[in-house]
Amino acid sequence: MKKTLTGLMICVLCLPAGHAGETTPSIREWTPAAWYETMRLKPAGDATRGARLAKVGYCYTCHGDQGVAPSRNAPSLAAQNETYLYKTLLDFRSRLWWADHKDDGMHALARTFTKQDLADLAAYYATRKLPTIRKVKKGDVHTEKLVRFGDPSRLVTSCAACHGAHGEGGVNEVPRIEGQSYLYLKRQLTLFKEGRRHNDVGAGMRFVTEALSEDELDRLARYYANGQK
Amino acid sequence: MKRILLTVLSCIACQGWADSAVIEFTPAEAFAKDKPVSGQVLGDNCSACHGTHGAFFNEIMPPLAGMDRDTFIRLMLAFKQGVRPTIVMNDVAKPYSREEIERMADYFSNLPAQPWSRQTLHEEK
Amino acid sequence: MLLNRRDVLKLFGAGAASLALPHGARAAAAPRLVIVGGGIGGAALAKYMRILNRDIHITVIEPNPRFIFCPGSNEVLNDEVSIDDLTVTYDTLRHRYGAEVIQERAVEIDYAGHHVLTSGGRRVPYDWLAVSPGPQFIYEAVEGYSEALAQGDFPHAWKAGPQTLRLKKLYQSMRPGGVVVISAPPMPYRCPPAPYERASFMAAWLKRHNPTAKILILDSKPDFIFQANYEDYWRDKFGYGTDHAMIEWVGSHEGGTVRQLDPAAHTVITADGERIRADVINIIPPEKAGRFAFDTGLTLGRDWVPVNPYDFRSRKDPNVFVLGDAAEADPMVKTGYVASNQAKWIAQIIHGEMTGRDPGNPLWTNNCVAMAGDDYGMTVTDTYRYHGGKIVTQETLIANPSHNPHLNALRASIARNWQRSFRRDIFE
Repeated sequence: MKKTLTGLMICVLCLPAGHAGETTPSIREWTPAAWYETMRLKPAGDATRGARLAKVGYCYTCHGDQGVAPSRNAPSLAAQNETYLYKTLLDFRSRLWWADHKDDGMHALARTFTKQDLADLAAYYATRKLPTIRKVKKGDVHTEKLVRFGDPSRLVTSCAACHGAHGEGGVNEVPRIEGQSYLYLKRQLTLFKEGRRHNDVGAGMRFVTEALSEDELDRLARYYANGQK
Repeated sequence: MKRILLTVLSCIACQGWADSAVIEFTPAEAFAKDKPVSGQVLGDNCSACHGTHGAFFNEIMPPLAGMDRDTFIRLMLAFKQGVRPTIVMNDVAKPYSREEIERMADYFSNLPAQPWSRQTLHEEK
Repeated sequence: MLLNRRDVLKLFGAGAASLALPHGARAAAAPRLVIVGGGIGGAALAKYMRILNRDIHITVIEPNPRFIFCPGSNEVLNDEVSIDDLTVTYDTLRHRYGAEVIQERAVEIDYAGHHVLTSGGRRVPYDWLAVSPGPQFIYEAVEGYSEALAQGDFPHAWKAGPQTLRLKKLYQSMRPGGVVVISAPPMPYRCPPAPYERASFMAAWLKRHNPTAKILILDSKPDFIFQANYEDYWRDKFGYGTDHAMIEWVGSHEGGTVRQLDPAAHTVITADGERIRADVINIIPPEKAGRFAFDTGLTLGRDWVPVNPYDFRSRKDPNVFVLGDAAEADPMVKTGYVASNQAKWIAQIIHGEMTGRDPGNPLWTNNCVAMAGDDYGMTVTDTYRYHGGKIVTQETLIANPSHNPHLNALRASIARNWQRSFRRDIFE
């Protein structure tokens, strides 16, 4: 009996291991057309399989059990937009999202998964629950204005227009940003502003952050972090 | 049954979950009567991976400078107890006592969350 | 900038003044720490000393204007890393940490007068001296081998630099089906997993460019660290243990010890008298403490420098600390990681003496990494404590081999992370 069980476990655990490099991805930036086509071809994700992959992929090490980040150092993935998760993993794999060595881990890891694996992981995390969905606290007047109305004089679209009234995420690949850590949000906003992160479709985030000051980005990061440590 | 379950669990370990060969290990309690090791001396052992004063913000291994004290303690205790497999941190956390982990937490939570290269030390008084 | 301009001027002002004064008359001036050797141990001590203490005058005596890191240098053989990536200058130590760097060789210690004498004839006064000379190679342990041969066609490449590039050129231009012999030394030596890491990186390159070539590791030890991991990876990638193995390993128990080199015949001779001809011969000689430690009598008739296990003061003179590979700090292994943590602790000791504060007990880790390929990393965690009047190993855990490709990729990427952040921790 013991032996049978042992054999069984070995088998089960050997299966999910994906293999790298079906194709060599190009690192061309996303045009809306290319992205829509990729979205259209996205394989349907299997959350059960994704759960297993998240385990053998050690995803919880940084992103926590069930995708709730255990510290400020990585984003929560629970209840994240599934399309966004899939795209993010693709971008890490192709190295389109690579700003500095912090992203080496995600690049190395994403390369060990197939596209189907990535879709399964996305399905798994998208269906996890955040412990509580908190409402974003009120920020200062200027930050609230940027969040709700943007700044037409600088052609800055409001955050809410894409990311939702409470930062809960929007259509297509627009992610939930509420409740991520300040450190994470500030880093991403800064990388967009400096043009070091360039996996945003049509350079949307780069366009907005370029117009905003460092101080404004800092306040926005605090606003959406919503006290998250 | 318990034995079979244990075997299955240890098999999971050998099939891809990180585990380590224990060449030598003495629990921290064996050193409880020695003079204490300060949070700084403990914490400065972390710098080769996490940066000087735990303040490298652009590497895979995360910065510790300015980290929330309670979060640090909670994570280190989970690593120490091997709650779940990790890449290396279970092994790293294992030799420290709870008090030592708390001292490290005090040390790191009081350091500025600023990249080391941009920090100024010994400012004009 | 850690120090502002005024601080630096103040420090060097104090230093210049005290140079002219005999020992003892300097009491009012800033205390002086002199460090011999600007490698990992010496540089880490200078940096961490300054972090702890604003006032101390720090001098580093190091003849080379640049330092080339050994960790990461096996990747140079595989074209993954360049020597430039591993090279740092002393500018940061000078400008950020306010250390005076004298680019001369230290030749003598005047223990009674508290001075170090340099090759340029300077007498550098100290209150504390820290000696971090690294190891030297015992060429004569392999009959027929010599420093001259190492600098020529038989590089050991155990100090990153020209020999690394020479070795790379030699094995990469080898005839199809050529043989590389690596002779791995007995313990203790600098960075125990490195010969096997080297073989792995060479094999990865040869597999692509010279697939019938072979690497033969002749070992003066019966086993080695990460053996299970390396053999596992070699089986997977290089047919290890089969007739077509690209890497073969022969331990000392099977006659792997190399006793002699016949350079003219390109042949090594083992302890069993077997003659093995090879296209490239990479002998990594046994080691002992660096020459400066012998010349100054610090070794007290031993191969390594005996030190007090609590604070690393040399047995010869309590004002002289010895750290890094040269120190006899058993059971600690000889790695840059350990050297850097010894340095941080010595800074605590000196700072404690200056301020009258007890630094408590030390703890040193050697949480080190090695690689077998860009998709395969491994980790070891050593923890050492001071207990019962000696250094004891509290923990040694070695990551088991894994066939989980995700985990292996993560281990490899944190190994690279370590190489970068370790360099930065010493020199940034």
